[in-house]
Amino acid sequence: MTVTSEPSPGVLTIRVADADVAAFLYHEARLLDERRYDEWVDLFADDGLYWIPCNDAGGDPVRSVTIVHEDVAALRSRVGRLTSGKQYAQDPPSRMCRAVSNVYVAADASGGGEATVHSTLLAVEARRHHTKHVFGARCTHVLRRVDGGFRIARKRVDLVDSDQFFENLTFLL
Amino acid sequence: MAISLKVTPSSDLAPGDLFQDDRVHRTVYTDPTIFDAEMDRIFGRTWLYVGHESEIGQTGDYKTTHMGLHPVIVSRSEDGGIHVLYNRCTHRAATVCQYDRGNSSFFRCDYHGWTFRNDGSLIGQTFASGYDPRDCDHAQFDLVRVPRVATYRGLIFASMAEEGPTLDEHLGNAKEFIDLFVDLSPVGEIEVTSGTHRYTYAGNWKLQSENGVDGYHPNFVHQGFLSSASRMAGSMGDLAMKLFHDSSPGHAADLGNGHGLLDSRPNIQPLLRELLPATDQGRAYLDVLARRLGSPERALEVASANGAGGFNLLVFPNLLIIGVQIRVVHPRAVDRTDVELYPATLKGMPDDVNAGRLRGHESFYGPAGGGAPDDLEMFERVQEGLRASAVPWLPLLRGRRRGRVDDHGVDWGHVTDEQPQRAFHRQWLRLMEEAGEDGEVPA
Repeated sequence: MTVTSEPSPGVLTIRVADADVAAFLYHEARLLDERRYDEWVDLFADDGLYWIPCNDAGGDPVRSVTIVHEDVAALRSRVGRLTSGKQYAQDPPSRMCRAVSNVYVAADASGGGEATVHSTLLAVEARRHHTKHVFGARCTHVLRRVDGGFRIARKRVDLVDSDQFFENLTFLL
Repeated sequence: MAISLKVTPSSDLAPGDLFQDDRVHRTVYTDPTIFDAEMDRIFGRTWLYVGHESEIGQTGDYKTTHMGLHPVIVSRSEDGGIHVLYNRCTHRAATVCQYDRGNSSFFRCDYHGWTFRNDGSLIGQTFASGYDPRDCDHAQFDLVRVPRVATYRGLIFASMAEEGPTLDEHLGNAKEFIDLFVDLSPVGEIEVTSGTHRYTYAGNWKLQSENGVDGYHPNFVHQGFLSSASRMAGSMGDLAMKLFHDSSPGHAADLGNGHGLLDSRPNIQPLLRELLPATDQGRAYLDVLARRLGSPERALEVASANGAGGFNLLVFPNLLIIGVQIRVVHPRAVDRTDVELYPATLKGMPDDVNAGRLRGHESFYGPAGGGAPDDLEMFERVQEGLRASAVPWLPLLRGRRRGRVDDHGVDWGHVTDEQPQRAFHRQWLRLMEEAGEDGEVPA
């Protein structure tokens, strides 16, 4: 998934992503911070996939349970529940801010129709009086150029603690 | 024997005063003294689920888990035997195994180097000349084994008590439903190797055990999920809001020994009995099941009973079988509970069927599921509300006078009734009031 096998020390195999790619990820984070979920789902391509693996299992969702593994139709249904007022795990809602950094692509990535973009997510969640959590994740977006902008063909969020006990991940990462 | 249990410095309620068949006292969920007593008298005695045989399928495989507050290792030794060992070095008490699962012939304590076989026996003490044989008999320092281990249909249970009811006696009427869960597989075996959902909440462990067989809450807590499910095409969509409605033909039952059941088969079975034989794939599956189970009728009964939320089973005190999952409730403190959900796949079924089980499970369960996190929210609201000591009682009145006891002693109520919760607390009381082997009550 990530580019780690360096040909020799100091020779870069990654490069910083273009500014418009990074800006797209910041925009996505802002939509989620502000719970503008409908607009967020609209960022996905029609055949898009959103995936949060579980248990470090990564690999194969056919054989491994995931935290979320949903197509766009399922995401729309999820967002519908989140905004319905009946998803009590988000009543009151989590207040969040997300920092997206270390945005890079493989150095030899071609300029074709899709780009695989790696980033690091730090998200802080505050809820009710006493709950404060920090979530850390490596994110992988497959972005597709469409009409001068981007659509998310695939987003994978690898939480550093995906094998641990969570209180509530009903908000989206 | 009535035993006085010091509840708070200012009150002296005995366990019998805390549950009175139609109501539970708030301190049952809030008092650390009662929690400590539960760990000794309930978790220290009864059978507890520790894993599934498929999790330690190969020689040397192990998993770690907890029995009550005790860290344990469940291992498979070279001879194929299953061992449940306290994960505690017999020297300075450090845990000897640090991982959720793995494969190893031995466990070495990293603190002073004592090493044990995966059946618990001590291989050696480092710098052994420092131990005089007159002081130190090797076997005396084996990892301590949990005294009783038994399995039922691949599910591994252990008991920290030397004596007591057998696993068979303990499971009693619950066995029939474990059979339904496992027999859904064409070869009669499930596999529990697809990973684990884990969540935690700031509330008492009993809130989860009770909720898993509470048919009164879904149409309220989960109305958002159920109403979006009801927009699905077809008959299953129509069913969503009806399963746990006041007008549902489903049942809730007291199975005895504290075990409880929510039975949605009256809703699900008529539908699946039509749908399953209507496709080539369904007929082929039913044929395979019929050959193994002995009759087409039994095949249809099993195939239509579960796999689509046909029942929820609580095995006292902390094991739930719901949908495709085995769920284990781990008490951590009076107001902190960890929960593990193990989706089971069906051995002998095509990958796409098992993947469908996983995706269906995730849609509702797990930390980001469409339903389970809303339950956790309720548990935390309950735990906060329980701080109001001015209002001490929680009623368990629902359906109290409309149950029907069958020939097996099973008390059946409406699916929204509180038979399972009353059954749970009755067993709780029985164990809390029983004296230990020496006649003494743990302090």
